[in-house]
Amino acid sequence: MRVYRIAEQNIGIEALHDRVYFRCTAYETEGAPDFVVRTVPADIDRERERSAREDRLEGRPVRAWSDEYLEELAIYRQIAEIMPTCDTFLFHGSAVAVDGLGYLFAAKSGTGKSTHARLWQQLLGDRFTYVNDDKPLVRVTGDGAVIYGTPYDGKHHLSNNIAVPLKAICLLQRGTENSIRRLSAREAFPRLMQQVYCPEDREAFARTMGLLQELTRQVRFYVLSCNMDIEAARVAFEGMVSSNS
Amino acid sequence: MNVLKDMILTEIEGEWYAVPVGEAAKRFSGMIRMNKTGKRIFELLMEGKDQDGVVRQLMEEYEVDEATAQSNVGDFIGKLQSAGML
Repeated sequence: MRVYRIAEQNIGIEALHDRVYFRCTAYETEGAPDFVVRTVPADIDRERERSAREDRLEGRPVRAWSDEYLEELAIYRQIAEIMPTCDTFLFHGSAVAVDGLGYLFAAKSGTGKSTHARLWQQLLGDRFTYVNDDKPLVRVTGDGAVIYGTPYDGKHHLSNNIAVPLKAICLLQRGTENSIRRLSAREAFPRLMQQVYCPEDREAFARTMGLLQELTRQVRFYVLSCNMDIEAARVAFEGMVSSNS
Repeated sequence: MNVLKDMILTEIEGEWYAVPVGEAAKRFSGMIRMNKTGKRIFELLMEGKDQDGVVRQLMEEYEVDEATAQSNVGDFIGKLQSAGML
């Protein structure tokens, strides 16, 4: 077993493939685990079935994944099932930091959230840092929300082992022009639900709902219609950051 | 089949949502949005009350006449049935 510190928790991992450990290298710690996750071959089979089911649902050809990759998914799924007990949940989106404050872009797959994050990097240069381009963790307490880098950072592997206060979540939709507007928590909630990991365990799910409820009091929400031009980043940045600083 | 027990109620700015979890999540991908009265009807159905039981409870809690309560509860249950939740 090796131990990794992710989002304030020491997580013991017992994996079948070395790649699972390799992925987490930047998070390794000497500490004792707060909890342990481990995989067996059946977990990999389940991930393969789940992925095939999703592909069929989306109407695309079933993709073939390596056992190593599927094991990584299985490990992160187990972590995500436990994390709500630590006031933390998994959010599918691209999380970035500007001047040490966190902003999260969410959208359906293929909309271009990673592309948009890259535009922020171009626009802001050294003021910009990736938190996690795909599956960050969000911790919600009465004092505010914090977004954490994790080893599970999408196909381009853009992440850092950092934690920053989460200030705003921006839902992206494609448009020909660039425009941003503030969303109420009511408007944002159904769309947030599509991006949050919903645990299979009822208790963990209920805790996740409670955390989301608290999150709606702590961060601002926006919807951005955007194209792929640098102007999209300028409009989003002006709307989310400059006008609130 | 009654899958209401497999749902979790949550409130966002005065609006209530019933979100499927576990078995219910495998059958439904959406959520039900409700006002406060709808949420109360939903809770009573989750507790296992039948239509008459829900109507009686609403008449007590909201001082509403039987015809109105019957109509509201009937409509609500109809919607859940057409969504396959009851």
